[in-house]
Amino acid sequence: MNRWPVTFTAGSLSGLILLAAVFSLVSGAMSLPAMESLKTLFDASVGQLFGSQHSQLEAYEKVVVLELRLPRLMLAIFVGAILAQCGAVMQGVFRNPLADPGIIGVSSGAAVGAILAIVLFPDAWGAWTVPISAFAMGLATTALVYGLAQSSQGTSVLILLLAGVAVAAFSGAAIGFLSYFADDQSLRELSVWQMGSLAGAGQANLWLAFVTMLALAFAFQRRASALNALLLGESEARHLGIPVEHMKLELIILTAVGVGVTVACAGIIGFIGLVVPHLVRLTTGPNHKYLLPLSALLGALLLMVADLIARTLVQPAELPVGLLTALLGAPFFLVLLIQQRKQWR
Amino acid sequence: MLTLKTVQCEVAGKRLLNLDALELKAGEFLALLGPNGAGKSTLLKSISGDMPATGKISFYGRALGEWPSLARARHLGVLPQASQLSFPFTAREVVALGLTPLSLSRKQADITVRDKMELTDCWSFADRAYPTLSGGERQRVQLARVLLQLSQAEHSPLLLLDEPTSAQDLGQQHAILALAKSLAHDHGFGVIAVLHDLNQVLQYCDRACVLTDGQLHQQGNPEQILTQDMIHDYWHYRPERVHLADGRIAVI
Repeated sequence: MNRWPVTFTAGSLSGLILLAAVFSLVSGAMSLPAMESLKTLFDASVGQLFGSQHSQLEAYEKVVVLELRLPRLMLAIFVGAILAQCGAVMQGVFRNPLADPGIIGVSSGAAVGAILAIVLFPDAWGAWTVPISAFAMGLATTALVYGLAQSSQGTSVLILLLAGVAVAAFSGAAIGFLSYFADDQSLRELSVWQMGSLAGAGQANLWLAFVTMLALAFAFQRRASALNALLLGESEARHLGIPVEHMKLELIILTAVGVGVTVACAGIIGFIGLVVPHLVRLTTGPNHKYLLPLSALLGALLLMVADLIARTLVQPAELPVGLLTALLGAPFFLVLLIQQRKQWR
Repeated sequence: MLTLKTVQCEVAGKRLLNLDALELKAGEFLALLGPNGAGKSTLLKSISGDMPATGKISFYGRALGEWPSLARARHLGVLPQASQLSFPFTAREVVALGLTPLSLSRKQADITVRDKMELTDCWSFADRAYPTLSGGERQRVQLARVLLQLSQAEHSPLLLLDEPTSAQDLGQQHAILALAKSLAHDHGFGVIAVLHDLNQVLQYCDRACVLTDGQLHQQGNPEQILTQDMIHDYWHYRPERVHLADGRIAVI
């Protein structure tokens, strides 16, 4: 088996993330001199310690760099990393490389929650109305799906999967129903929200995403060897001393929280969680000890690049990033599938 | 090491297992025999905890369900009948999963992994992707994994083998049974295997247990209990029993 060395892969990904971050910072609808944009960042961080200022940008241009582009690229990094790790974990729990972090119903539940908020109570908790409602409904739906899969034999992965599919279908219908009665304004809002966007990056959701990313990375890494054992099968994992039922519940809760936070911060962004772990497995193998951190890096990179394309392709307008990840992700995933079919049969 | 008392297993109102008593000593290689659906796999699964069973299953004087999970994993190894894996682990990585309940240094771990893979004759394809291996090769990789898992046991471990020879060619069948016998006789393992080939039972096992309809009907030295009549009763086939030149018995 030809695999890439893990340290080399991690190093290259980190380098590419840095490169993409620089590109994201200096490009956008408003054309600013690249060097000056970078100096602005330098001034705002290191320069502030010494009281020195080098950037020649006007104040409003600095705002574009520091308060629009910077938070946005950071949110892309955090959301991409969370989604990719959650995808890797769900593929492990379901022992299926085609599982998606939304498989446990969290995304479809969150979509219903968001749309309920947009249509029925748009101002209940100010700017946080939609995120809170989305997050709560996402978790509630996961709890429902998980509850449905309980039997005397434990949690049935098959029923979990089918219940997830059924719930997704039901929420699709619910969304259609609510859209039918929505006015034009809410309709516009909910369609943008469903396609995912990082435009809402601000202090509060950046911190939320950052803390979630760190906590998840830590929690998942501690469970990496359990995830490896789970790939053998649930009985085999139990024989290896893994408390399987407990482990599944923990991993599902962690994933639901992770995906719920990303949905609350950036709407629904598909395919990152599906494609990224798959790609990493192809290059460095399925061992979760490396798969999880490398997925986080690649997820961060891909979402940042996707967002860069989304906001520069049709400037001065911009595309919803979720639309772009699906547009690029789906054909790419098909190519992978076809290749894999040849390889493994 | 292992004592079973009034062990029953019911699934959907159907009683699959109804066992009065069974005991296994360390160093013993026991064969479970019986026609299809007799409850052999159910018995193994009741011991391994994969089927809910009532009654007493005690392992070194303590109910198996009450063992701490990691200590249990170091003393009870289960070789599954077949094992799918839809992720491209190499054979070596699959074996290394047996390290999960252990605490070994990296160097020790590498040595032990290689040792177990050589023991089950799968070192030569250590770096091949598991999904590309044949059924027999996979089973030997799994056996190496299970033996690795048991390599830090403080007491003699118990090894459960569900049809360990089903996917193997003739040479490998005998290699695996010889290995199981040596694990029992030379290393004190308790081994319980579901087997179908009576000649292999006669050649390698210390004791045979015959099950039908979930009940233990007969047990004892294979040469003594595997008579023509008995085989006909259970399998509806009357073989010939021949004495080989070296005094062993075979059924044809």
